Amino acid sequence: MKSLIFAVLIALGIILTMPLYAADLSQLIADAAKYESGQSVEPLQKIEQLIRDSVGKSDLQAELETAMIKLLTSNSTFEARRFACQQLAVIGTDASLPVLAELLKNEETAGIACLALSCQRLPKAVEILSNTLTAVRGRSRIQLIIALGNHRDMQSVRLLTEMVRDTDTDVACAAIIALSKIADKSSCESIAALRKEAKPAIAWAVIDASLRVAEKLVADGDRKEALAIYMDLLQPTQPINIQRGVLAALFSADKHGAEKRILDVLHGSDSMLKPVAIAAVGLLKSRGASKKFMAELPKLQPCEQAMMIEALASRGDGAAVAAIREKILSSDVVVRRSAIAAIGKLDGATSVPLLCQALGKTQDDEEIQAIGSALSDLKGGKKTNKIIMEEMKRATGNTRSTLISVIAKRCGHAAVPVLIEETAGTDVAPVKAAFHSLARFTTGDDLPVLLERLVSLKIPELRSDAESAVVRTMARIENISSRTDVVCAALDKNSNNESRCMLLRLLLNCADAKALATLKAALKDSNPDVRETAIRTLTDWPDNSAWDTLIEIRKQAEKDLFRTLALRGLVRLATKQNATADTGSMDRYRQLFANVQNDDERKLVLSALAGAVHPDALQLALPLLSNSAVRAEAELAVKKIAAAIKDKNPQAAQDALKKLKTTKP
Amino acid sequence: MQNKIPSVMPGIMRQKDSPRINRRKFLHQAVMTAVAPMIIPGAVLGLNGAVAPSNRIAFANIGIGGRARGVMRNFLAQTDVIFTAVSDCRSDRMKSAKEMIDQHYNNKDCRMYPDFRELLAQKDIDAVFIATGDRWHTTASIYAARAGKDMYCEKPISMTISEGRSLVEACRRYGTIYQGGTQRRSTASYRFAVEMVRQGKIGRLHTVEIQVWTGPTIPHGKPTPVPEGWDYDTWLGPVQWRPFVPARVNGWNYFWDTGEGPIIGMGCHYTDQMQWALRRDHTGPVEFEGHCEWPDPAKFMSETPVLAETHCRYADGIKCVMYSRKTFKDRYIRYIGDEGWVQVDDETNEVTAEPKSILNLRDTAGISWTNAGDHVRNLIESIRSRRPTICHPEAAHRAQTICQAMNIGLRLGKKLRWDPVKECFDCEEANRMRHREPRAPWFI
Repeated sequence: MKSLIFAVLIALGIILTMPLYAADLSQLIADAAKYESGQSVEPLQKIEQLIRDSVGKSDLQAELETAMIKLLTSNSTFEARRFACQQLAVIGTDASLPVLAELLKNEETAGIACLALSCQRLPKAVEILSNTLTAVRGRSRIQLIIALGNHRDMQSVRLLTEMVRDTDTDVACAAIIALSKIADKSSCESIAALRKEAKPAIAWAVIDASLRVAEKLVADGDRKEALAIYMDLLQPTQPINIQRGVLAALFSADKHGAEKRILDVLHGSDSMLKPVAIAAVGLLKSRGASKKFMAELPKLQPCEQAMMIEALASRGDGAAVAAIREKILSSDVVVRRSAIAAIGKLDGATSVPLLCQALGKTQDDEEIQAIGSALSDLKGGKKTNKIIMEEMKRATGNTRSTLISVIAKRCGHAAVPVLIEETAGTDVAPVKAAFHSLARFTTGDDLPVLLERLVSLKIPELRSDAESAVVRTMARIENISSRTDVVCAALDKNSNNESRCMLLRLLLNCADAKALATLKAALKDSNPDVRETAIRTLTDWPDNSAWDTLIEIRKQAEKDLFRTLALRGLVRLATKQNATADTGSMDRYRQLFANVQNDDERKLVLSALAGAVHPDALQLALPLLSNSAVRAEAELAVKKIAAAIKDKNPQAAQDALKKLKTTKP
Repeated sequence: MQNKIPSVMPGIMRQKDSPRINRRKFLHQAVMTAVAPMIIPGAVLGLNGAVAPSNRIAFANIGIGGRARGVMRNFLAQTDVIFTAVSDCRSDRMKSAKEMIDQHYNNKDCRMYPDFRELLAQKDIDAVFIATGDRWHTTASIYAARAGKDMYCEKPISMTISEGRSLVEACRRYGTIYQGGTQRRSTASYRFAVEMVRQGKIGRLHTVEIQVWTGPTIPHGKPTPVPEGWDYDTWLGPVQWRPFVPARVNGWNYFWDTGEGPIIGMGCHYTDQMQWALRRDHTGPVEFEGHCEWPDPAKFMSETPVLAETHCRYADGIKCVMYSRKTFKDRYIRYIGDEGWVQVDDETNEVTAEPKSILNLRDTAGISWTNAGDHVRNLIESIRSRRPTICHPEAAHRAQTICQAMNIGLRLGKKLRWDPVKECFDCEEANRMRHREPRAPWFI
């Protein structure tokens, strides 16, 4: 019995340690081998899942590699073999090299074989590539050369060197680039020799390879050799992009000589290289560099000066900041603008007077905006704020308005008292700027004082700016009744009718019961302007709570105008309910029809009714078909209502349309 | 196999003796007195008005699909840019691009080059706008850099991490001015959010939440003959050959060889923003982990995830989570700090924040990401000043690496540690996925 249990356990152990996927895998491979576009990718996706599961599990990976090899050796489709190579790129080892070696020989499959081999940086993979290289032609040969280069294996240098003078230029160029990726001593010598030969047909590859070699030499610490290559390539005979790249590389590789090199370029006549030299100023490590290149500024063209200012700004040291500060008032617009743009991120209070002076001199909107941004960005906190504030007090017009915006941006809500003070002015631009900034930074606590400023506004043309600031502030008060309380308190304090009208209009932004009651009371005010404002505000009321009041106005208002306004308000309210119309909505439409006085008004109500999604709406519209004056509107309404209700009330809709045909006006 | 490779790489040795140099010199001299570096607004320099032809930067386009046509309008709107040539391996698209450009300039001057290497060999072209499919971005960019062209390249800038590094090296090697097409760096809403993060308005940033959409799926399709006017071999480019299947070719975004789904397609915009906000354009996170749902293989042939949730973490503990879920309209990035958050919704360009007072600091809503005009402008000014663009190659590569590492983590189903200095994983399989051998004759 014991031996039986032992045997079972052994068997179980074998099963558990057996290749986990062996059974499934052979069927999967059989299915995958037939894969062609258009068929299910299920077997491929399952294999991918197995590959995923095998990460870090060498035994499973070995099993899967064997399966992929099988997929490559059987009569698999090209797409199946392509798939297998993709998987081998991730899990392949020496085991798959023989089958990949066979694929390399065939032009059709050389590419996918290289794909599989691409990451197997093993001596044997390179050996296979090298061995096959001489046996293939055309694209396959280039494919293999590329692969050898990417493997960066010195074993292949001899073979690649033989190919750099191949009569097929494409082969030669590929071999040159491959050699430069390996970049051992022998490869470097071959490339140097080619550089001397200077054959036009392969010139691009030789230069590319030379640059790669120089990069590797720098990385390996052989700067002398690298600099020699760079100097060889930094010739006016070379294309400008090569010169630019080489110059930048020299600045980086030879840090000690960089300053002198930059100066040489700046003092030279090649203006195409100057931007590269100037850009390198920002990267110099030496402390005195800013001062040295500051001295170069006057010798440069304005646009070069602008670039130099940018480069100095990226250094950001004291000398650089001083140099940039000096250019804030430059007479050259390009230089001035670049100094203004740079100074904001670098300086503090010291630049404020200069920027303000520049602000006072310009009329250009973009420049004003740039100065505003610079002032907003200046460091220095309270000290800088204080100086900007002082400048602002002295300024007028647009300069003052820019400085107001700057203060607001720098101080946020803390600027509100200053901004409020500014709204008492009589100069349009600063007051406007103050209200605009207030609109951004006030809170509910600021509403009372803002309302005071609104009603005491000295510049009528800025009323909408002030109202906008008030409305935005009200919107920040979540508790609606608090909004109403503040507005009503202001109403109580103000006896001036114009002010009261302004305040009454604001109640629309509260729209609660107290606000409605306040407006209703205002309907009885002794002043006609106040009464009219109350009516106009009510006609814009957002919900039906104003319905009855508007009906009253409609029935009893002192002027036709008020009655018309009330009807429009009522129609607007009725329309708002159309999509969710109920019996209450229909009652309101009935009320409207009962209160219209002529066909024009009837048309107005009909146009609203046309949007109502309710069967009773038909009952209101159909009788009007016989009224020739409103027949067209009634017909349209019936059609629209019928279309809207037909799903839920097909019979009513059908009957209405039938009636439409039979009813004559 | 049918492609003939020009025997000389374009524009390397030939420029010196060409009349182009004179024009360039003239252009440069004129430009150096009339045009300023990127910090100078164009209007000051008269760039918004008439610009002398000699002062214009001559651009050409390589690859023109729907996105390219949109960005092209932003290029054409620049008065100091002139588009002179187009290249596409689809003749219908190339012709329609020519029509678009000719119509803009009211002439018939736009040249067409089916082989982009011929276009790059033209000495009168200063810069290129590359908007091919993703598979071509790096290769075309490096060929352009070799040919001495500056460029704007659509994102994602590479297909693999090693491609991205090669791009950075090539641009440095040739002094190339390169603008990565993650144009949200030049979009007011995104800039505002980044500024708020940098100014500490949300306190200490601890998490960046990113949402892209649910990955689309492509039903199985059978091979068909290559349509007339298509150079399919060039269309594939560095990708190993596979049959022409219309659904796969049109849905290239969702097959690993040619695209990498929304995690990269959209995600790279957001990782770019995150890197920028954190001022980490030269480094990246150190850890990646995620899980995803793959397409149903019985119904779909597409390869990229349908749903995904993937995380990464920087060495200082800042985390990022990217979701691939919901609809296209639901994409956003949210920066979360210990005192609040700020979010940009891509569809609406709306910025939201908590505390809401953060929003008071916003000056203007600005244009949305759909207009890449400011991003293009930044490139133009960098071409003139030779200063790096706002989305220079290293920044673009690092942002792209994050998405690529996320995808590699999903494909291997494994938590990965990443060394941003050596640019390698702690996992052999993942390291192998950093590189993909290109199909000859293309090499970088």
